[in-house]
Amino acid sequence: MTHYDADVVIIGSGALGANAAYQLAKAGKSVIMLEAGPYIPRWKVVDNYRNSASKRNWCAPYPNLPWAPNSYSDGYIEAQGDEDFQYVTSFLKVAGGSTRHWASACWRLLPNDFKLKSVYGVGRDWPIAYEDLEPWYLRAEREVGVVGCAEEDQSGQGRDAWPPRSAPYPLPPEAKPYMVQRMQAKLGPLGYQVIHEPHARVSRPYDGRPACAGNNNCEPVCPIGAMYSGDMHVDKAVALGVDLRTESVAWKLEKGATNRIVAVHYRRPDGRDVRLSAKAFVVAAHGLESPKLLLMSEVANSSDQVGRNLMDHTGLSMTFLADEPLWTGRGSVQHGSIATRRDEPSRAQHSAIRYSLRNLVPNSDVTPALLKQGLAGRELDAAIRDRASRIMNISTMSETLPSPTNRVIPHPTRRDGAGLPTLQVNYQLDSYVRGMRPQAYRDFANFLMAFNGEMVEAPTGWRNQYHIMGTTIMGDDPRDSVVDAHCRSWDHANLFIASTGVMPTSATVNPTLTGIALALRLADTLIREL
Amino acid sequence: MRTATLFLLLLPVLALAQPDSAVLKRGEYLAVAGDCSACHRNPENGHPFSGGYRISSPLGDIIATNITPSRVNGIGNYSLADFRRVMREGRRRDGRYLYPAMPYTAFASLTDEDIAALYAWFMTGVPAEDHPVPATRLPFPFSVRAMMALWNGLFLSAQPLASGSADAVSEARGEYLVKTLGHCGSCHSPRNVLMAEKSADFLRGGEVGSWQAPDLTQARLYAWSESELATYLKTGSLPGKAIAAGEMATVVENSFSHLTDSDRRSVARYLLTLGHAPADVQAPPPPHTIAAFERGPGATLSDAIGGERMSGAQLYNAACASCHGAQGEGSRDVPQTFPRLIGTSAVLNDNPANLIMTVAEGVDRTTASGHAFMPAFSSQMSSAELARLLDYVSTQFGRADRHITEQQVNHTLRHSRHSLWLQRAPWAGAGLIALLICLGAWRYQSRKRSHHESTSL
Repeated sequence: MTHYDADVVIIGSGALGANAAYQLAKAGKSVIMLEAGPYIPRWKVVDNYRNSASKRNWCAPYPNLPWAPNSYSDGYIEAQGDEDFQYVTSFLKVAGGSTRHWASACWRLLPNDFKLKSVYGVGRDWPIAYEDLEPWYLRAEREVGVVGCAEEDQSGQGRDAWPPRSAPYPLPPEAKPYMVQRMQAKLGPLGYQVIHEPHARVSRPYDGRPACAGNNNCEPVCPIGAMYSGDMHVDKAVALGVDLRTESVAWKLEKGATNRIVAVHYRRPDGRDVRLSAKAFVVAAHGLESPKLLLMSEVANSSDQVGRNLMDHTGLSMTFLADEPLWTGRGSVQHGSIATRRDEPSRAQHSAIRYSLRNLVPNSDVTPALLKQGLAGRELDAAIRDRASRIMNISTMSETLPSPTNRVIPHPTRRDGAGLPTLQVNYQLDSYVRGMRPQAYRDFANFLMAFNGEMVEAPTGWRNQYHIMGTTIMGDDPRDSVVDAHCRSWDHANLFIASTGVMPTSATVNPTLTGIALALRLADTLIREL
Repeated sequence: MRTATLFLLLLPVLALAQPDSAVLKRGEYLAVAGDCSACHRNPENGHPFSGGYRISSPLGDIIATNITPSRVNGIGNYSLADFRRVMREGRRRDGRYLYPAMPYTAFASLTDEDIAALYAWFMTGVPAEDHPVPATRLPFPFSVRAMMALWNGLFLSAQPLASGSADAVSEARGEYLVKTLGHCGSCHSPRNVLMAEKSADFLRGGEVGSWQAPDLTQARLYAWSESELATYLKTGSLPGKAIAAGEMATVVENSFSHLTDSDRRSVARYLLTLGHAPADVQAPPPPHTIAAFERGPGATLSDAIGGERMSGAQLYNAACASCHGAQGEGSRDVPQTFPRLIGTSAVLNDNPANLIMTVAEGVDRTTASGHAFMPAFSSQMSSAELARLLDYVSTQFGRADRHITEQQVNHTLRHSRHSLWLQRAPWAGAGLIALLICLGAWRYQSRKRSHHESTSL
């Protein structure tokens, strides 16, 4: 009998990998979970944040190491693309992954988001329907503790509750912040659906976490652990015996004779290489790093789609001063959402849009401009108070389509501290996403007029939302997709990918909950087969 | 309450055979006051009385029995006299002795009326469940239950107490509740080598696992008023004075929070009669300046991910201040969601056990006034980090001279749940039997003597 180091090796300890690890361990499987970065307890992140001068750099309180560089390491991501937009993203390399500094929006896709091609004639369809994933959506919501309002039409059409749910949200909505109340009062009469944004900042003590107390510090760290982050499932998995190996950078998947993956090789900071064998492998190393690992290993790529079809919610953002205080910053950093344009017929011509409402304490955002004006002393304080009470930022989450030329590859020449290739990204905006601009401008104008707003930052430049999709795309045809409906590589029966990179449509919502649901479903497949 | 609903559903069926509803209601209330379900619950399905919960004891697990009126596995065949014998003598219907995990030494002082009301409720208000419960099997010599006769001879004595009214506040009612159903002494009185409560030191503080059950005769020490103590029993929370955690949180959740205001006040009134005069409470030291917290970013990996070189003040600022405030002042809402640490009993206490345990294990308590929750930090910090943090809390928010060492933290966290000699007991047991026999004989003689003396007068 062949000896294996573990039943399953999971590469990456983010929310997706850790959730899969936890389920596998609960089912009695032996699991080794590799993590490029170190483990850092929450209180230490809080300490680093308090001691950091870069309060708005949400990678800063987390270690950034030569062998585990994060997205903000100088030169780590080389981006090529349009003149008016350069690809940027934000990720961490620590146990728990990038949800350590997310804001925890936990949307489900809409049923139509799974069949963009057949309903609107653009992009691709998923090989599964919303109904197929629904049970795992619910389980994912229970794992991470999602707060939501099940009565609302999240497709933004003001009809009945949608998408359909088999059970209510695990936790009830928190009190509605004043800003959201004002948005509803002013934009509702214009026909905009300002709805609750489901999220994972628990509104009651839940699963060993205290209730959200409104520190408004979700990013870069919830100081009290009310908001979900992947380290919570890392801890749960480790408690069940999962062997977490931090500071261990996977760099090669080794192919065996029968086209199965037989081992993974990882590198320690001292340069030592280790080989691990297992019955199955789950690559859960982030939407850019996972395809990089597959390409470096020359596996899973018979379709030539690995690393291609990179999507984000690249869009526009407007900041204005309302004619009345809105008091953003009460509660969590994102609150409420304008869902009206999520699923309209115009999706056949241009991107669907969801508007995200920023609810960050804005004092440090409004102050630099006032200092530049030369204000000081009491005058400055009064101006900060006034502006901080009235400032508002609204940005679009715009759907992008999978395009094979938008891609990530291992950098041909640059190497990181472990001697491994860094990332090279080519990302261009097509006419589909650019085509939503007129619609967005009409809406932005309406928002501005509703509050007699004074423009602070016009919605002219493009910006990313750091949601990575498409790079290990899922499909029903091995010739044009990387994984099947179960996130299994078409090329290697024992290789699975737990990543939002498998998503063939980007829709308009933060993809993490969908990723966790897929990871839980993948774990169930593995539990059945091992 | 579910049990009440079940009772109401059953009422029409059983109407003819029922004792009057006032008696049943009283019985149900008394069962809550006695917190019977704390031990007699079924841990598998949460049924309050069908048994199976394992009470960890120094000698092994004692399995609480099914006390529903099941004729097969419960107490369905018990007469009132049988039931009374359980409560007063710690003996089952078949005559076998109970282990004193059942607090019959306290229940022995219940009035006949209350025992009858409890009996009526258990027999007719509680639905019968045939759930079988495995027998308790302690190692020899403790498997010989008859030796409990000797133990009872030494330590069981009923004290005549008047029940008093549940609707009128009185010291006598409080004493009755504390000494009988409340069985407060089970935790709050120190125990002797034979695990019996030391009657001379009634409520002067005991141990529950690694937690300390505080000395209740010191209640006045921190200047509690009667209504504050009553509020604490209702909610488990008295910001700036005390927080119920560990077992006490459970007692508040399951028992005290469901009693009448008047009973809680009676208990408070009685407890305050036990108190000593208040000692001087030292003013806490002046607050640290912000410089104590700030360090700038760590230069090495271990400084970036760990607290090896962080002071207690810095650890407090990182892990605690977001809720309890940089100066230990707690949150600004009323009543405080995140309680003030300054003045809190666990911080002021001479014994650091409860402070250490609260930080290590957290708080999780639900009553009608809300869900109080604090995460557990034992898995998030090394014991050296915990010790520095706790030392800071104790010296900064308690008393400047009261330090907490890593040794104390380790001792508390590793503290064996039971006295060592009893853990190693099975073979020491023979000696114990001999001791019991000697003591029993001596007590019998002295009792006989005093009986003779008194009757001869």
